[in-house]
Amino acid sequence: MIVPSKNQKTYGVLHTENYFSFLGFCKKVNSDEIQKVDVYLDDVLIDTIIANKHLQKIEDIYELDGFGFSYDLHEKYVGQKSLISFRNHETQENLQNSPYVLIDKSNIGFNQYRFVHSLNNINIPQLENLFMKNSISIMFDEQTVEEKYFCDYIKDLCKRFPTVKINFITFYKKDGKLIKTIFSDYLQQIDTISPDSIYELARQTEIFLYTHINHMNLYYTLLKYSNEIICLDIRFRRNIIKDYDNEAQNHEIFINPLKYNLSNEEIKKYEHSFTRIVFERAYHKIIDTTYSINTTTDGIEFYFFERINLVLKNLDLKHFVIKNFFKKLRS
Amino acid sequence: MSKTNELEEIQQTLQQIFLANLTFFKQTNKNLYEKLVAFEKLNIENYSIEFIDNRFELINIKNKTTFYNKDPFIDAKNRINTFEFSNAFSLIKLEPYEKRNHYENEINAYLYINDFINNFANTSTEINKFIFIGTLLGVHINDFHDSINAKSYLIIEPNIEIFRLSMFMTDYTTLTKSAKLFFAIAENEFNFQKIVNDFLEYQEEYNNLIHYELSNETNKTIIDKLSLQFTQSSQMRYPFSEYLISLKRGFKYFLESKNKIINLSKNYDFLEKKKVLFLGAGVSLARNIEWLYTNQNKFVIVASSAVLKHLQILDIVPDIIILIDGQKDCMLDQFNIKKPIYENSTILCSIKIDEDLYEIIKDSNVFFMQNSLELFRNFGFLSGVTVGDIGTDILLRLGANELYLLGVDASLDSKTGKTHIGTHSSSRKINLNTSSNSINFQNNIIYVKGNLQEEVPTFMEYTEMIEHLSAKLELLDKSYKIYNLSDGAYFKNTTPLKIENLPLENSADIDKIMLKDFLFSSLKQINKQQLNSLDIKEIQKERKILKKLSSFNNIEDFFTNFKNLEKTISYSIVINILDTYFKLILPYYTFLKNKQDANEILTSQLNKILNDFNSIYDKISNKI
Repeated sequence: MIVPSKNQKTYGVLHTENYFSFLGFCKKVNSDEIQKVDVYLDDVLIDTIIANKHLQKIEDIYELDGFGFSYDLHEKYVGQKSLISFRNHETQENLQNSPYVLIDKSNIGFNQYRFVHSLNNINIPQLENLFMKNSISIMFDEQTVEEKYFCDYIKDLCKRFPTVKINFITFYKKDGKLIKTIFSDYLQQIDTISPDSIYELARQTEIFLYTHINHMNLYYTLLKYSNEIICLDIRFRRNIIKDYDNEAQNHEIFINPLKYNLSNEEIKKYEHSFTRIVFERAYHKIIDTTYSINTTTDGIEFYFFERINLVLKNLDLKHFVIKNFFKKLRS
Repeated sequence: MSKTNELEEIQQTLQQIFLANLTFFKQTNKNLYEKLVAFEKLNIENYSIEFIDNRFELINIKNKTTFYNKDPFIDAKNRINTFEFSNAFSLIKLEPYEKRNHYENEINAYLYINDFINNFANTSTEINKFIFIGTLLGVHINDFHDSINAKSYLIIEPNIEIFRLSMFMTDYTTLTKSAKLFFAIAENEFNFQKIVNDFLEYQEEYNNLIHYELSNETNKTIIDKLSLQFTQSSQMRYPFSEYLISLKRGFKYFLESKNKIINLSKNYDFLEKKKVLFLGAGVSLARNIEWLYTNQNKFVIVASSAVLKHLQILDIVPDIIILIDGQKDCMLDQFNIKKPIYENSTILCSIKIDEDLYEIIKDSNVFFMQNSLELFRNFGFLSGVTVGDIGTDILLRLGANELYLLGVDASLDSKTGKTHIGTHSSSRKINLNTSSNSINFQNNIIYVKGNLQEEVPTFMEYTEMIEHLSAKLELLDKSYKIYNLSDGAYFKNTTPLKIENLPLENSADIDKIMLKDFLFSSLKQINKQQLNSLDIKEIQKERKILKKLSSFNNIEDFFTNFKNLEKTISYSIVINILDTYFKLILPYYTFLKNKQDANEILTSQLNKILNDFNSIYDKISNKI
């Protein structure tokens, strides 16, 4: 047997980010020579990648300066029960934690993992114009749904917007049963959906209600790429509109107003009110100047209902707010 | 009476009080008395008591500043009237503990404390222990006592001259008749800590809320100093339940394991004249993992279990693994690695280790070490703060006289604020730029002397480990060469050495197979295979003690019995563990106002602990 000298030894570790996305590193001992990594699916070579990235997570764990790689399994392989291996291109040695058994459709969490995976590589042109008029989507979350105020809110939405459809996004059948039980009086309006990708979700959504930090990635993805879906954060309940404004005092809109096509005069005109700058200004620009927001009035009423009312009724206003505010947040 | 006569009379009175105090200190506090006499001989006068505007004033002679600006007797009354109950050091928790260091199906100290905290709706408002931080002229001290009637007082004054002046105005002899007094006057750090400790050890059951009065702002830093010492001396840092675990698991492993327990009470030469490299879980190890891979055969590699995952990256197999922690999940995680990394190693582990972990490693060469208590007398036991200092201690006892430390950082990484190597489950990044005003033993960052840098950031908790290790290394003679290769904290009596300056070209490779056999046969020579007559006698003694303690009608009965046994028996594991239980629990017990509730909780806990002891000793007795 030929044992490589200690200086020729290569090594590396594979980490699974989610079930179809991988991170890792590959390196030669006492050398900065960049290594290649072969990716095999059931012993068939499907890719060769270069381990030359600076990945914070990998560098933090292994005290490396570079030598990282990331890999997203192509959509066409998702769903097959296969063994994926990452091997050093030169030595054909498996990296630590490789091979790895991919999950297939029989796995209970498969739909959810596939959906999460679809957030990794967004085809922007495919996503940006997809939407479904009068559809509100909410990621199902057991904890939130158990809150009485939340259930009452959804029921109230159904009453106030009888032509609107409300989709709970869930990947587990048991959640569907729970939703049907809780909202048994509104089954005509409330539905559950299990999208296999963000595109599928976008096809069924006009407003995405952001309810829990766990769904931040999805929220920001829609925020960043969609021209048609408006994302409204309803995580916080405040008494009056001014309370929301106070918490938004250090918002980027005040630090870098130019980015939001906003002048200092306008900030003054709307009295430094975040709510007024985003919505009243949009109304004035798109519809007419008669509309005004009283910031001492009910915060829940505005943030949980009136915002929805404004964007559902006025397509141009929705586009203006998305273009001039929401899309800028992540640019 | 004329003004002059009046003043003379006052002076006479002050003189009498002073002399009475001096005599009192001569008889009761030699250290303080000698300090006062020595100070008088120096003829220093920076402060004076003046009688102006019909009142006394303490004056700084040099800058003419005054301390009171009002009649000190009125000041005393004001202090009492405005005293806030919240001016207290809390030596107990007031909110229930979250899950911590939990042992499933075992007695857990934090849950025992929570039993009391959950009844804190009605707590005692008595002030039993009190601290005067600074005396000024001390006029308020007796007034405070009249008001609060505490059982003991710690009187702190960093300035001996001010304290001496207080001896003219304050009759300490009266105070001592109805309370125990502790004086920390112009003490150095070491003596200060000792006196505070004596104060804590006196009537420990009242170490719950200790109130204080701050004489003036100049002494404010003493509050932080006391806070830190109270935190460091907390019984929760190593509570009684940890000893119970050691006892229970220790006997189990003694009965079940192949190699049993090694004698650590002596020094051996097994590792003499060998280059021994001890690996800790500091960031320095991760930075030098390739160097370690390249040179692994030049050393006897000793790994703390926390680094195994990192060694796995390059398939580095340690010759010795040291395993100390008794926790389950984090330790199982450390062994969530390929078997070849540990199956051929010599594993030295604490008798406290988790039972599921034991199942994983039991087929390797496992030798046990007594931890924090001696199941078997004269067999030595581990003591220390972290695996870093404990591991070094073990290696020194096994004869390592050329020892290299890598990853024994005892610090945060000075650039990134990382606490451990990234593969360690506790690894996190600390923001080194944040400062905190409050003392938090586990999170506060302080800077200590660095090994390869001038200074490095570390947690207060680690400073104790640094001191512990330094104290151990300081005692070594010149035949020991300890090289610290880590970019972390400096330890006394070690040689800081950059890894690139370590010449290894001429070092021969070690035959690891021979080494393994040698270690095995050497350790076999010092392990206890069976119980001897002394062990059996000790076990029988403990059983007798348990029998005497187990039947009690009420708590008072129990304490009488316990104190009698404590006085008459020189060494008993049961008594020692119960003593640590009381040290932890009684401050909570006395804090509850409703004594019936408190007695019920205490009785129930005592019964559980005694049952636990009984079942442990029944099992071992059955094997005699």
